[in-house]
Amino acid sequence: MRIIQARSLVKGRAEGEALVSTEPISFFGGVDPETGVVIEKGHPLEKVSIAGKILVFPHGKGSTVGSYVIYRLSKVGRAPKAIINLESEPIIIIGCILSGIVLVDKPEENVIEVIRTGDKVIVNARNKIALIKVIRDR
Amino acid sequence: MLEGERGEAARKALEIVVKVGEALGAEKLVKISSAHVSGVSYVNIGEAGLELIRDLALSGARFTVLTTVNPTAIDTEKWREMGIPQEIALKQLDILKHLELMGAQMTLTCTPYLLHPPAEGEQIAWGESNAVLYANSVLGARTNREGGPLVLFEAISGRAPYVGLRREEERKPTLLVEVDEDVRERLRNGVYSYPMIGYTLGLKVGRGVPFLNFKIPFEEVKGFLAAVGASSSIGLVLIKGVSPEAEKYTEVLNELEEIHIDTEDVETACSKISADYEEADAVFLGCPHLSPRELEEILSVIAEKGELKRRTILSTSRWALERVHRSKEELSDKVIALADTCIVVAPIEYMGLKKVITDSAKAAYYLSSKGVKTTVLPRKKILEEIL
Repeated sequence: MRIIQARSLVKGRAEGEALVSTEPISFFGGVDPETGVVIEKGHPLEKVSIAGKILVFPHGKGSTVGSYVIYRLSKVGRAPKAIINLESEPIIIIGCILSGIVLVDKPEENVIEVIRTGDKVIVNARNKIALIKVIRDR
Repeated sequence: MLEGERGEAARKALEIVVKVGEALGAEKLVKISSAHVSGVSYVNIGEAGLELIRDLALSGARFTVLTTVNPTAIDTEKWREMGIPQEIALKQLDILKHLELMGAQMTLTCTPYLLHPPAEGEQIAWGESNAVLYANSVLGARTNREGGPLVLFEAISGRAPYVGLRREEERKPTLLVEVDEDVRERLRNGVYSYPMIGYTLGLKVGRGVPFLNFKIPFEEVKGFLAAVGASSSIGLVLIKGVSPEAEKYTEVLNELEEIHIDTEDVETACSKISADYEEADAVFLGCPHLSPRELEEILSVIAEKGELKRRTILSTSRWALERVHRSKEELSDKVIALADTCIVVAPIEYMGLKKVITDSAKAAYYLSSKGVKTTVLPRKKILEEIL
């Protein structure tokens, strides 16, 4: 088990399975707003669903309409449970606040390398400093 | 902001602005005097955007500053003539209804600076890159290129994070841009146009605050800046003789890194958005939206020509359209003047556009990304030879 500190941007607590993308994510045009499946051609998560995951990626990219897509995903129950970024930017922050998705960034360690897809992750972002607990079975 | 039935919506809006400010490293928020909401076309924001705007309006959120709105997917009066399906039109009208409920002025134009020009030094929160560039570079107002949703929350809270181009220190020039004599000559000869130069500058510079040591005729500034916005993330160009802040930097120009725009730069940049125009099925003028003066000039030429060779689409604001009076009989039936929209944000698949000639490098950039073949020519040439 590992514990990593980070900055809380949208407070709360979430627990689930990690899904890690080495590449930035564009929610507008990159994620299907009705299913939560990544549709960007050639993206490392192409055809993978982000619904219900603890989604780990460097930062957002692309159109600011992405915030609306995050909101839509949460309305149809296909949003991730929490997002961990290296550095969040307005598209992701706005989408997560509107949708109540736990959001943390600026982790003390490079989460893209430390966390692996399938790890069990608990994000406790109730305070200003968030704690990311990473549990690996094997 | 914490009281009354609007409390929750207003509180959330302020929370969003604060959090975005924190993430961007803002030391404080500043009051803004106006907002311009971009990202309102149903074609772009879809069901997701409609839902958020509707939820905000119904939760009691209201704009607390003068708030104007960008073009939409439809001309609110002529959408049937545009060939747009009713289903899309109704969704678009639903978005507009809820923006209006929140208190927006339904300007539906990308040129809010013509209707409500902000004063020099005024803090504003505008989306729409051409409007941001114009407000900063020509009027000396202060705004970043705010994203669509962020502007909504800034307009509700009346505040914006004090970062980027809002700060005096970040409005200083970062690069000196010179335009080579060969390029100037081609501009004079009508081979190149100012939007082409703007597009090239954006691609070559990319970011920061370029100081353009080259005077641009006033009526060309709008098209030039729109092109800069399309090909870069630049939000302010200090233009010699145009920008109110340009003068105070004349003495430090020799300390800046210098780049030149040459003919090869222009050719390379424009080869991506402009090709041979044989068999083009339409001419498009009005990106950014035509001002009343431009509209009057173009309609005069069209009225004089009588019959036109090609379908000609003009886009402008309703505000401008109401100021220019021409009867239908005066104009060829190949011309359509659209308000509230433009073909960059409209569902063009219903309009049968395959090859378009335009004077706008910005329009060409966005149309070509949608698979339309485009040719960029100087407006004078289009009016004299192409229509």
